[in-house]
Amino acid sequence: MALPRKAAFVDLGSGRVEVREIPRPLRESFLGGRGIDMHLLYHLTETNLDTWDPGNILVLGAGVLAGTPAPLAAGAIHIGGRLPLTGLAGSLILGGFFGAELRFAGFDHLVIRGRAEGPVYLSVQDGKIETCDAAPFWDEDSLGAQGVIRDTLGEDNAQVLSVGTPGDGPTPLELRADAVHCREASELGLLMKSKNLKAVAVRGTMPIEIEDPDKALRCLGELMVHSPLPDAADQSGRDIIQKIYEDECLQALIDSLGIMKCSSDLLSPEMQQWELYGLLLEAVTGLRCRPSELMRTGERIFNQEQLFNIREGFTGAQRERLFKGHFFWGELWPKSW
Amino acid sequence: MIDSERCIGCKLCEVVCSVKKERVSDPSRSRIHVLFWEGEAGALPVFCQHCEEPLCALVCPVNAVKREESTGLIIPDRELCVGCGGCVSVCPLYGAGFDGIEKKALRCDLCQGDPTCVKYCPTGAIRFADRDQSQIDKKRAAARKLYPR
Repeated sequence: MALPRKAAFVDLGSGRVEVREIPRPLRESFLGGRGIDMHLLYHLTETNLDTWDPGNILVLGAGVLAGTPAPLAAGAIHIGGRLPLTGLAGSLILGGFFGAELRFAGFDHLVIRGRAEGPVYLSVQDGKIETCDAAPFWDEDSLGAQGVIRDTLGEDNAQVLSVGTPGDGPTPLELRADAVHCREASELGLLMKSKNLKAVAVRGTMPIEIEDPDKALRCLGELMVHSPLPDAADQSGRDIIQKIYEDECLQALIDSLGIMKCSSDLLSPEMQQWELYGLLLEAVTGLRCRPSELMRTGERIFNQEQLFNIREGFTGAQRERLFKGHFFWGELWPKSW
Repeated sequence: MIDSERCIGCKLCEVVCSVKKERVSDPSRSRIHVLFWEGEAGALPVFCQHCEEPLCALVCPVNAVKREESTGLIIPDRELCVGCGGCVSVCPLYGAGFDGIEKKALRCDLCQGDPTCVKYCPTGAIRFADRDQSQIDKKRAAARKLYPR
């Protein structure tokens, strides 16, 4: 059985770590990565929490295809959390190998709650999670901190997600997965720093099971042979709003699968590739997924994000126009942990 | 045959190799590894080159590393291997692998002449070529840089 895999719930305040299996119904509805992150964010965040309350959570999630035979080895990581300044659902994808490494270390999702007493970083190695002292390099920039952590752990191959240091005044903060993959993420960065968390380092050498290895390799081979670039003329007649909505849903799906962003050019409901992704997903994980169901999953994930924003009081007319589909899937993850 | 200028360091070869050989995705047990320096251009996939005078066979304390007569490849005998890791340390090309779970030496066996990594490399950085032929190909490629068209 390739699934279920595990999620770790880390409370930085008490140092308690709880590891749970990800329930299959949750997988079927939200896949992984951005999908499950958004579901967790919605159900684990208490409403009306103060901006800087330690109860706010930060979720890191690897896509369900991360570290498996998927195009370009799918290593992206999704970072989710309630943005401290605007209160919106924050969602950021960083490329690199962090997502894959997290899965090789035995976890698909990390849910971080609470506030550490002093500066810390999390070290995740082959199923073990430790809180380590980050005081010596708290003021280092994100790249410098990665180097120090790798030296401290003695693991050149560790993947480190680190947050930058704001200078004087309202300077932007960045989140960094490696030397190349770095994005401006002031609010998620502030959320991370409010937990006294400088970085999360992962290193894993544990295998990821594949439901049907031969079929997975065959599907990957076909995906790489078919690489038709979309013809721009095909899409020119579409309603622009519908297009935005579809792109958002597609992006949500891509983020949840953990595949490269450039795959979005190759992946659209009209193409054969779409069906192949369904087959690959089944071959890798054993989740049965028809092509039409995949697009619905994308809608579901995007809508869950929008629900969070609406619940927090954001009801833009344009957003509501984009919003369609069902509103409620119930709570697939138990609230208390 | 490796074209390191084409390699983008995506590490898909490590994943497909371990899926093909070990039936799970586990790059630590793949026969090919991508050496990758963050922030610097270029990456280098390394694997067993099946040397004519293999140092790994010289240092093996139990003579488990031998050349297969039928294929001419250097393949360690899993039964004999004691997992000392000597071959990994001595290999000048970083091509010897090690199975950290079963504690046995690993070598690329070229997938019986149809290498999986070659099939899935998205940029064509890894190619399968006859050694004598690839030598002249490399010379041509190097000469082309000196005398561009």
